Amino acid sequence: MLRVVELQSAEASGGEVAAAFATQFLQLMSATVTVVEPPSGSALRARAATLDDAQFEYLHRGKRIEHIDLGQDRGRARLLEVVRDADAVVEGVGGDGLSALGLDLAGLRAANPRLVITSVSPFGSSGPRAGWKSSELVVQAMGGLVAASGRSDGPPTRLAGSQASHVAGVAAAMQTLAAVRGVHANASGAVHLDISIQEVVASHWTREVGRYAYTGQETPRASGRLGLQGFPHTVPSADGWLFLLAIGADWESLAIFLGLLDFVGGDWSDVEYRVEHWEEIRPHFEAAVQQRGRYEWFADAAERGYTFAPIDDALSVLESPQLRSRDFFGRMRLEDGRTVPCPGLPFTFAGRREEWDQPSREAGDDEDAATTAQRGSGHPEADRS
Amino acid sequence: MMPQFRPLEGVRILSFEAAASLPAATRALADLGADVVRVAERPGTYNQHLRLFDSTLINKQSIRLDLKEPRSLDLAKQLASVADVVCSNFRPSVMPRLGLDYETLRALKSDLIVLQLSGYGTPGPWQDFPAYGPSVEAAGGMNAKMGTANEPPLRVGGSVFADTLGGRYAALAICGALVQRDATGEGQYIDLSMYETIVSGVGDAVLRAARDGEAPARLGSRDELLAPQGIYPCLGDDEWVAITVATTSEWAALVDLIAAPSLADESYRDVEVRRRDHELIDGEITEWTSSRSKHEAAEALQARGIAAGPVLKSSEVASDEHHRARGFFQYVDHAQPLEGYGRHPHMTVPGRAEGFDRAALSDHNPDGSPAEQVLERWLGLSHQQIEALRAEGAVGELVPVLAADAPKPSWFGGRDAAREPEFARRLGLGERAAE
Repeated sequence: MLRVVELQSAEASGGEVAAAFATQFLQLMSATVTVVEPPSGSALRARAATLDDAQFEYLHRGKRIEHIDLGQDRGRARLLEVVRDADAVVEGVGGDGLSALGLDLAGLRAANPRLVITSVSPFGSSGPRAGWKSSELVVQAMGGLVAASGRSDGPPTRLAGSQASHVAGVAAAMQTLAAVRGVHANASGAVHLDISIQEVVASHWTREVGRYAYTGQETPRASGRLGLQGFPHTVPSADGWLFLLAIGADWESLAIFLGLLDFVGGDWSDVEYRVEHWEEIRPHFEAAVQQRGRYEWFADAAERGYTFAPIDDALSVLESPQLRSRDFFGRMRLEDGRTVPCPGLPFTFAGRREEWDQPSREAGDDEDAATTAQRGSGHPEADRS
Repeated sequence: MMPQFRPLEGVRILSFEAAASLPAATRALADLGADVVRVAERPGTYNQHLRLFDSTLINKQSIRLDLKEPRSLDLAKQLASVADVVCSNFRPSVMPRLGLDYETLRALKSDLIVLQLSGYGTPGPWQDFPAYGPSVEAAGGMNAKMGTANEPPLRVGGSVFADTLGGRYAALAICGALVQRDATGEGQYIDLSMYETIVSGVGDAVLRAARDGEAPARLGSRDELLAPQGIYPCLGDDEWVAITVATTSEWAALVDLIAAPSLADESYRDVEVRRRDHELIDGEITEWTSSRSKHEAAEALQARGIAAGPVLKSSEVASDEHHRARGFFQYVDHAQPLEGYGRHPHMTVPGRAEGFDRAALSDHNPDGSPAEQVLERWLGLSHQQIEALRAEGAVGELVPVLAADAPKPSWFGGRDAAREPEFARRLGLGERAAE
């Protein structure tokens, strides 16, 4: 079982959410994760104290939290002790964050020469923008995806949630594991990874950047307009929005499937003609889709090889028969005593799901008093027991 | 020159892959040193969309096997028996139908790691439903959370966000299984659902909805806590800057910078008041940004300690000076010109390892015979043996489909996309090759 240390600071650096995502994945893949945060708490904790948006709970499932005052010799000694047994440290404390915490790479390496250290920051530790301030929105915008997301007649729009931090967390966890494998197999020694969130976001835009590099064409924003086949992709059904996607389908087959028999054959076969006369088709098209529920359309379309999909939100996705049958949701115990479903990893090993039911546990809660005292965390709460 | 960071040196991956998702996984693993062999079934199938998927073929070698032929299938099994990882994103029913199900593969090599990537995951009631990335983005909760409350759901730009994400998670799962195998000696069967990658990515909102009994509000580009935050228009056509004001002192710096007397009121030091008057504040910020370029605006804001950045387009990502300084893009030289040019810039795996160079990138269609090299390297076959297999038709090379014959590059809103005349100069592609 891997041992991983996550370093967080009181100041928001723009890398803190991504680092927490990275170690959350490792935790769900059976690693033991210890979060080290200052006695006053991390920036993530401060945000959670003001905004009860469930992000803190989501990112701390099953992790062990230890409050260590790195401003004191005792605290720094304690950290080195934690790091000595670890396979990897993942930190999101920012470009100057380690030194601001009184730490340096050489010191961590001296404590553990086989240690993999993964730093996650908005722009990486080098380059002209290394010192720039960032936010989830800013780094999304600079990754390329945002420019093409949103309505064709409106402004660029951010992706849902903390997607930049999410994808950077996946990349950081993956490269951390690859580096650990390298250390174990002696393919490479101890290593410091410098993960730029901007680069990770851009790498999810590879195809569109490639399109520009090969043809000089930009990718326009496309929501709310007719697609290449001459119909919109987001349409209301009887019970919510439906995503109509049928790449490569010919219009005749699709129109017959939708029940639009008046628009089959003749000029209607020509996509340019359909686009020009869309206002004639639109009421019929919308009425046809309104006839049935989104899951009904989804299943029938799948039989014909069309890739329709129900447009679900954060609440309705909880009812997805696919997710339920796959035990995708773990259980989360809330402070009020209730237990609610919580998304797990999107993959299984041998069909098994990791189980947890608590967001996190403080060092000392489940540990023998002598052990904790001996560890001397430097935090009054942790030392209490 | 420093050494390259290749922690996966010695790991052999046999990939039955198509489209964009799994190819993104194996590309990342190849950049980290893995020996990736891609199996294609028919000549040319790999690049029906050459311009679009070219980047996912870099640093891999391809071999063509007609898996319906017993001799070819036998070769596939021989390759699997010396691989560390066998992965597929063919429809879930395909590998078992070919006789390449997990049990059969495990019998060939007991510690093999096998991964199946699909749209919705197997097993499950939707396991056979076909899906592209944008379908699972819609189903998984991404679209419904984009945009504002009074508009229809929006979509992520382009069409391969979920594919790339599925690929990245597949690479993560494979690395986890490799570490586990090294420790326990045991292989693994991994099932990955692209749909679930999207739900996991908005998982905090799903947990919150489960807790509160309602989906969180849609806020467009705003933040629920910090204000102001938004994407503001700048000088020029479709030019924008993203801004987040996170603290009271940043707010004071902003008011000073944009010199808006209406915002000088002390009550705006309270973020709640700023959230309440967000529209009004946005108006003042827009007035300031509209007369500046997005780069000027971002730099002026950054100089005052405010998080801001230009909304970069594909062209700007590809030519970005920060990326260049970090070596994020590397040129790939082609054996023959593609779209008229002998080389193109491609992204490396994101992130650098201190003391190492970025991965070198080599074209998927280099000189020589990749199929022969693979059979020699993995199975120790001689040139004569390989020639005999070739004569039988059991094995072949991928024949690239010329880009001119390829279909239109994008099905999303590409109808009127103009070509920027200066792109080749901007990207340093060199002289255009003669037709």
